[in-house]
Amino acid sequence: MTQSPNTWHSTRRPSSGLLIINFILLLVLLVLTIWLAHLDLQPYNGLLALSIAVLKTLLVALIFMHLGFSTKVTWVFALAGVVWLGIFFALSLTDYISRGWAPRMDNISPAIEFIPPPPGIHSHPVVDQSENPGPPAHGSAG
Amino acid sequence: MPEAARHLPPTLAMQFEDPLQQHEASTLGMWTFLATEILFFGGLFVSYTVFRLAYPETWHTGSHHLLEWAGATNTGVLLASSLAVALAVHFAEHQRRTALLLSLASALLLGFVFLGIKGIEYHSEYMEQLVPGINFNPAHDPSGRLQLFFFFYFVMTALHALHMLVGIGLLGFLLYHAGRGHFTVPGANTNAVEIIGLYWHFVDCVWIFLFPLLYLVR
Repeated sequence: MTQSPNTWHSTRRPSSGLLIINFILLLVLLVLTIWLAHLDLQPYNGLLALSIAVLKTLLVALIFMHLGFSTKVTWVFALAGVVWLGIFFALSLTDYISRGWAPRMDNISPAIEFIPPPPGIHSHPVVDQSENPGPPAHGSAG
Repeated sequence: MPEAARHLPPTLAMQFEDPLQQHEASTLGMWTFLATEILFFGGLFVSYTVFRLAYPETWHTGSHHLLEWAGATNTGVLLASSLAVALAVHFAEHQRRTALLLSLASALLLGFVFLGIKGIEYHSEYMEQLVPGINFNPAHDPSGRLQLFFFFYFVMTALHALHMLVGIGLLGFLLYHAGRGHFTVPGANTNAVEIIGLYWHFVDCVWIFLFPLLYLVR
């Protein structure tokens, strides 16, 4: 498409044919993700399903949402949310995984259990109470 | 000033130089809102991930209680509605009123089909006593962890369905104005069709992730 009949947008637009091809691609990916879910590909089933979801989202964003046809500044705005979500995931998961909660990291039974405190901390509660009358500190004291 | 104002297109807001600038501003505004929406859903996705890593077997069991055909059909329904909305933007920009009305009406209809299938699912889960806080039957899982999966399932899908309801309302608004020809007269401002379309596609993207994360846990 070269010129659109009205002047309300600056950039090129996907043609209606491209929109329909994109939809067919998305349906193919949907069938693929269901088919893969019924195969035993452990431990890659989850990773494959998520990769296909990312691919589908890219197709929707680039073509249906015109991101592939947008200005650079629109890209910055669109990526901002994804980048902050990445920070959110990275910082939260490094915290939780480093507590030994995630069973895949160390093959413990799949239950959330607090790591038992090192010996000595709670073994003499009477002494602790006399030395430090406040409530026991959880983690770092502010 | 009235002299100058008379030469402006009627749909150009006075703070903008020209239609291109107005279009860019409205698009950026919607993408900014969508970034906040990504983080709004992000909290649920992060906590979902933490507990899925902690209780992989429970997530596996919970996923098998869900109706996979319903989730898959609903994914297809939403993808089709996204196509309809993308075509609506195309037709609005090409000033084809009938085609615009048909594509908006299809998207609206598919939105209702999605909510209908979701309703069938919720009903089925209620009958199986899987709704935490209402009728969850502890016999499903004595450890009590399965309730956690269903808590995530209901909160995430209900929050998504709430966004669908908002989207359906917005599509109704577009349909009303499209019926009156507001988007297809020469020089009309079609930004509303485009940015509501962006919102609709975003809600579709959320479901693209919810489907494998809830229904296809293996």
